[in-house]
Amino acid sequence: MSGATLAAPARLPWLPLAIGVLVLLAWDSAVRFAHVPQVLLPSPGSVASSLWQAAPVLARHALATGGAACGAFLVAVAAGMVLAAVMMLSPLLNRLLYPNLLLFQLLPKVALGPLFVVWLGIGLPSLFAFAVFVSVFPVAVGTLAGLRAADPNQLRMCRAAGGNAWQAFWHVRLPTSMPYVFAGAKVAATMAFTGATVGEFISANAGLGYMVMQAQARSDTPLIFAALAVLCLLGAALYGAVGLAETAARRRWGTRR
Amino acid sequence: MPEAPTLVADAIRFDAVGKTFPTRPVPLRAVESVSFTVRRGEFVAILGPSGCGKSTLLMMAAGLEVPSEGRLERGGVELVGPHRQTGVMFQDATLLPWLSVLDNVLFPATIRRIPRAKVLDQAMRLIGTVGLKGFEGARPHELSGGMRQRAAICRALVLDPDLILMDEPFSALDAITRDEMGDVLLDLWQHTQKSAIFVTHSIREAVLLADRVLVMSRRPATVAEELVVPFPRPRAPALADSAEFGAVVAHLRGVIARNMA
Repeated sequence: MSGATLAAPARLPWLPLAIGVLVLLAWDSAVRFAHVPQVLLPSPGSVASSLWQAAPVLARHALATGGAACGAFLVAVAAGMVLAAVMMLSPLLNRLLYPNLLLFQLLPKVALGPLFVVWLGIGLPSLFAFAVFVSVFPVAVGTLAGLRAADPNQLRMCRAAGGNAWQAFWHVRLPTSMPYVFAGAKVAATMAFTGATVGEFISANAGLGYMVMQAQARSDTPLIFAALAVLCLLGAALYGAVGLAETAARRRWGTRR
Repeated sequence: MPEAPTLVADAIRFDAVGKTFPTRPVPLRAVESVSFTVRRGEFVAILGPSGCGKSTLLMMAAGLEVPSEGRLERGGVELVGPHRQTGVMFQDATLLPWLSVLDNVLFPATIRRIPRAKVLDQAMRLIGTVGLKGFEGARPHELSGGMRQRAAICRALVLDPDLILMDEPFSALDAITRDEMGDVLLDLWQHTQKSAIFVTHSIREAVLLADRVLVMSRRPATVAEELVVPFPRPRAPALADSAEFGAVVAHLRGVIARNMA
């Protein structure tokens, strides 16, 4: 049944692309014919030329943001999985941590950004810690749900074969949790960029978030748009990379029954 | 001085074993004072209606449930948990979907940390015997229900256990596949000296496969009646079509009906 979809050639998403072009045209004509000032809404052309002119600077700042976000993402995935594993294997720690974890899920975590500046000062450490902080929860909660979703019959089979709790974890629970881990990681990928950018808004001297603040101070709206465009590209790239990793993992741990 | 293990003639012994589950609001009495012995090389079928507690009996034999009272002996020693020399088959194949057929068959070796190379020959031989040759690398979802249960048989036998426990292993299969699996098991059994407990609600399966049939009462399960199957081994699947076979089946049906009344 999956053969047909696998064999089908990769097709460009024409309809969404057409809508995108339509929006660009509408945007351009709105600016052109309604004489919207550049500071409010620059034309697509001026954003493009700003992108072109500021390319070297944008690239430098993109590297800072991309590096921080990707690093924070990796740390968040590792820490989230370890946190979930610990809660799975220790009922006591689960009782202590899980309600708090849920509580933190509910908090508007971005609002806690200034606290990180108070604790770690302005610069990379506070921004990195903040990006990890906002992206660790979806991974931890997702992984824990996955570890708990293990089939009781498979767990019993493992126990009958002489498996202990650790082996049940490694051979049954962890492979079961893979789709859940990736669902959490996809959320974490976008959260890591949110965290890094907000962190740069409030506590940095480099990065696209910092650049946006600088451009805003100079009323250079085209540069704001240019920086946002690069940010979107970076976010999509990390999301895509997680998607590729998921495909590879699905091939390895495909869970179709 | 160590005891000579050859003196122990019993594979497993139930001695006044009972089991109560602490369910709410009323505790569930599943097994009531069950005593029986499975000798070495003996194939015992436990026959009873669904939900009578016979599966609980088997889970205790597998070391997966602890008896509430009484004593369970495995090879003369009290059973305290899953035993290395016991193979278990469940109602479903319970293969791990992310492993190949071969890796699923080798799973007990993985858990017991036995090097793959040591059991690979045995695994391949079993896979060939049950007719899964060529499917070693397949994933469970690529197999039919019967093929999955064949892989589960291989997994239960891969470490060459001396006792194998089967909990209605063919109940999830269609009637034709079910008969076929009975034949596979019968064929596999003629050449081994293994003991077996086979839980089933199929009278035909019980009479075809077992040396002895224990008929269970309704819950809480006790041994209501015992019948030594009067057919010599090796048995052929065609035995099930004979008049003598039909008579034994009919007799057992009567016994069950009496116990259910």
